[in-house]
Amino acid sequence: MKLKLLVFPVLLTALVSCVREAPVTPETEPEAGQGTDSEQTPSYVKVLFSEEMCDLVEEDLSRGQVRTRSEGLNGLVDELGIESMERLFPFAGEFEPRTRKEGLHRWYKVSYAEDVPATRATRAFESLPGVEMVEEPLKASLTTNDKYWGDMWGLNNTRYPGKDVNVQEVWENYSVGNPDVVVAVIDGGIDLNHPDLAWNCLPSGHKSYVPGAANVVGHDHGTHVAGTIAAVSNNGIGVAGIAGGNYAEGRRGISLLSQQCFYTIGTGANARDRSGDFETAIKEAADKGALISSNSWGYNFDADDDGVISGAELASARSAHQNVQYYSIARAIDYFVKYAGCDNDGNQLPGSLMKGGLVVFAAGNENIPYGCPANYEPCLAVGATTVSGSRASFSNYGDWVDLCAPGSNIISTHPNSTYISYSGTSMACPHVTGVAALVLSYFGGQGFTVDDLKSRLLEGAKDIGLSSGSRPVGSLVDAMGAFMAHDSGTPEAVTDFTVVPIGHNLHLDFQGGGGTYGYMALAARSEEALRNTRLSMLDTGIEFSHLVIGDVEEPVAPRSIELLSLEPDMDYYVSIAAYSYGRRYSDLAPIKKVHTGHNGKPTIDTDPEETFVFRQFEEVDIPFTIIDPDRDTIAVDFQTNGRATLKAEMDGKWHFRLICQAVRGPASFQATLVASDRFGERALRSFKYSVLENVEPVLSREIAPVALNAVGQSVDIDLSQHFTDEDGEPLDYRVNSLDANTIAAELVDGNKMRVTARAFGLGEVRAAVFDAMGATAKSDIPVLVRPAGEKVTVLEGNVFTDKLTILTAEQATQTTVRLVSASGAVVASASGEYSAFHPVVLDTGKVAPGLYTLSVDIAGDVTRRTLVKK
Amino acid sequence: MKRSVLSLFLAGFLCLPALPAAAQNTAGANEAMGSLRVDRDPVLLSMAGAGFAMTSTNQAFAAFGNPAAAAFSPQKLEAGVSYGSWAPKYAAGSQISAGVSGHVKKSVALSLGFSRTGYPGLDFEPASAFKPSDLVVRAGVGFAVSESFGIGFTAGYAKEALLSDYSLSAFSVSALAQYRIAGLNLAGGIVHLGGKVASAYPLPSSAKLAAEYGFEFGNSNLHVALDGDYYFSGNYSVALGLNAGIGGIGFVRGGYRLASANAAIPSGLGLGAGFAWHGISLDVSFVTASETVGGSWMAGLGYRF
Repeated sequence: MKLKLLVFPVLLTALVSCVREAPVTPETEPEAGQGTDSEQTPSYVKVLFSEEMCDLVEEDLSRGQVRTRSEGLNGLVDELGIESMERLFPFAGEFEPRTRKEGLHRWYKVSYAEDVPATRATRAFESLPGVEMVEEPLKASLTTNDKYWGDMWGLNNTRYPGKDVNVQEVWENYSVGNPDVVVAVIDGGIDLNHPDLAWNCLPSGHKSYVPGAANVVGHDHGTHVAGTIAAVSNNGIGVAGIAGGNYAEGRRGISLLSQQCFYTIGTGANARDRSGDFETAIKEAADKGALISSNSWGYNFDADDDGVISGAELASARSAHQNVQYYSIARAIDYFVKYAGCDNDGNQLPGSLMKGGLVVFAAGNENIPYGCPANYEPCLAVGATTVSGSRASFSNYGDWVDLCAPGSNIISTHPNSTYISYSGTSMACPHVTGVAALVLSYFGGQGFTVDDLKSRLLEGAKDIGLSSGSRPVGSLVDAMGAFMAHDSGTPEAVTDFTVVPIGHNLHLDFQGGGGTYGYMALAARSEEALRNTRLSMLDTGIEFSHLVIGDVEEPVAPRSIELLSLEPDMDYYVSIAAYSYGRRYSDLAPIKKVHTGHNGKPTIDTDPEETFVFRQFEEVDIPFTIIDPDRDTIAVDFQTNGRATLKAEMDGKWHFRLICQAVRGPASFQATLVASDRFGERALRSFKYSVLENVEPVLSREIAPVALNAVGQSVDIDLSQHFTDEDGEPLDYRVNSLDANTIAAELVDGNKMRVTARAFGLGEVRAAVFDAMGATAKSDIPVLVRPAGEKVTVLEGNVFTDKLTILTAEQATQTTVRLVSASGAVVASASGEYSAFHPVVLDTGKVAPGLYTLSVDIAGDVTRRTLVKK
Repeated sequence: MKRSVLSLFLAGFLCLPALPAAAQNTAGANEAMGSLRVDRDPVLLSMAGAGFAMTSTNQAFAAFGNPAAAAFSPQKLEAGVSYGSWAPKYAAGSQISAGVSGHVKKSVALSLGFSRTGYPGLDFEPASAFKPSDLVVRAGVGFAVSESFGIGFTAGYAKEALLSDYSLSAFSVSALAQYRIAGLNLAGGIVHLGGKVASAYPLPSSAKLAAEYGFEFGNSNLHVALDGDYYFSGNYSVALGLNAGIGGIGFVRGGYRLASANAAIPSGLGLGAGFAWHGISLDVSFVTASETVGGSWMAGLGYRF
């Protein structure tokens, strides 16, 4: 099914209201009227190709060509004046496998001549076989509809207590942010040099997705949004971001990543915003390590910009709302939700704080019951509230709005070291983003998922009467509520425990109490430091480890917990605290003093006599076992006079694989394995290994020429029947067509070459094999494509110039060829054993232009054809 | 004078076989528009192209041949049309020609000729009604300077329409001289001299020598003709033809052309017959013993008074 945006020119808008507020540092007040409509109308459509079509065109387009082997597409090149076709989601390097797995590689951005109407381009692509979906070009605009002064009531509402995001208690007790949490701001560029933002901006990785704008430039809207999320707090200037750290205490906030999708051109009354590739920006944010995507933009349905949503515009909004799941932006959101913080298989990366990513969207400012793409189910849609806790009059609404947040008269950062107040769901969105970033900063870790984060945000939100009624916008986001979500209250303290030193580790046994989510064992070098530390925000020098009980309902049970890798031969003060799901901590158990033991030396166990022999391509498992009696972290070093490398993996115990490198001839080498703990204790083990000489693969059985009788016809050739390697090592088969216009070649099932006819003619395909050491063998196989029954094929067709290539019988046969002029002169001839794969080639460079008859006599069977020489 | 002309002619003729070898190295691209050299006169075709110097036959097609000979024709006006098939196994051209020659003065003869050859439609242009063809239009003038010596010139335009959007064209001129002595006709000159086609390919221009002698047997006769061409592309051809007149109304003809491998018109045997009565003539000819042009035929109808 082909789909397209059913709205007439759908507009993208940054969801902001009210510019023109006096800046806090007024010397750089923004221009009046800033943020008016954009006139940019990009001449492109977004096209989703089928798998088959994509395969057909991908290789051609990768060479920078516009013309492809798709005749239909080539027709549109002329019809629409297509200037370029490029992937909407560009090649993603190490992330390309998951990009393709999700089908994002099939989306293309096709630019065409400016004078071609968008509707014509859309219809043309819709009618093209192999196109599954077409999206019309999107226009960008900013709208303004409000202007008020204000202070930071969103974080500290003294006028209407309880109607802010309740973040101060979180700052005091839990977290002010974590630099490992990367938040992507999909918006105008962040002013990366703003004194209230620079500390919390990533040092690199920011990128512009706006055509013609190479650099990230501070944008009023994007900078404002970033400030709400993570303006540097407690630094004596400007504003405080929700997850902006604590400058005075040296705690950095979360890390901001600017994915620039709006760019202002012109100044003053002529200022216009040019929009970029939002889909790519969201997708690539996941590839760059972002875990939260903040999106204060959406489709604007006020197409004529008259400030009123007409009936037709409302219908367009409804249509987009209902079809959002088909749009390319939905694919980008899916990708972010699935792969943020994960590897190509969707598994959480070791250092990642969350499995999957959270996408937050502003609901929109049209005061209508629709909002797109905010309503896409995986997103958190955010409506706006006023200082009194009512729904902002401009906020879109509906059951699809997940949360609301302060959105009227929100003061935040502005380019050029200034500050300004804006209103809009654009301002509500970063409030939710900031709270989410705080929750992730504190609770994030292995096993923490995006669903856990959403659950905390939704469960912890405060119902202020806006989640029901005729125009609902959900509950008010509540930072402390999110931290306390699912909490069962302060658990009972551990009354007693025993502690035993094992080496320089400590083993603690105790009786667990009720209502406990987990236990934290703590050790410090001084009793005072241990007694005075805040359990929710431990001081430096406090060693700790957790024992999470989770949902296990055993109110009273014996428990054990260990504190590992403490300093050896040292006094420690030890205690235990129980905590609830919301990290409410019990009192400390009675503090005990204990002396740690000596550091144990690591050992390496193996068969000392063994010499490892392997072929050059092999990886050999080495049965070494490294044991550290104290379970310290072990560093492994490998030294050899050969070229082997060692791959060591720790999975409870050490595993080693020796990976051979190419050497000249058989050789023996010496190697030494060194294991060191963090205190410098070492264990050494030397051993020998020998490497056998590599044997190159060979073409052991010739591959016969291939004849195909129809375009599209295929034949599979099992290459494993033709190439062999005496080593018996696995071979890497590679195939390619040497005449891509005539023949396609692809590898199937790992070792079969599939040859497919693309056009009539004669071509060659190449099959090659590589062994693990890169030694190779290859074979070029002629492929003839011509209709069944055709005895003679002239490759140049019927009009020739410098030569005539004549394909005759499939088997070599005595053949006589004459080229005869209209007057009867024989101007070129050849005679001998020829075939389709050993064609007759007549040099006709000196043959005069004119009408000629080609006579081909194949063992007495004469074929004549009229040709024209030009 | 007479003896010296005859000596020069014989020397030239004897040198013809040696010329190709000497000229081979100068041969560049192949000749274009080889069809210019296809005979339009069924009498000459039946004599394998020989008979360029003959003055006794109908001179209607002098514009394609030797207008100097026409200047010696005793007839006031000669006209003819011909139709035939050329190289039926290959190009399969259907050729129709018409010519007229007449004296405007006793010693001056003018001649005009038109010929068109059509070829079967191209199978690779099935959607088009286009069929290749070539067209030749020529005009000539002959002067009988004396009773034994004359000169003649022809000029013409030729066009080959090869594809619906591709054609070739060329202009060419010929300059000839005719000498008669005691029943022996000698002719010589330059034939189809012109510019290069498509800026690179020469016309089938040649230096030509021809001789003809008639033996009379009462009201029957036998004419023997020998023609030689040295093409500037390095090719050559020599043709020997016989024309036997029987009782003044019937004719039997034959001839053989020996040509170098790439000559515009290949080697072949010509045969033919004719009938003439009260100025009206009907001639047929046939070509055989040639791989590429064997099977070619032509019929012509002429009138002279």
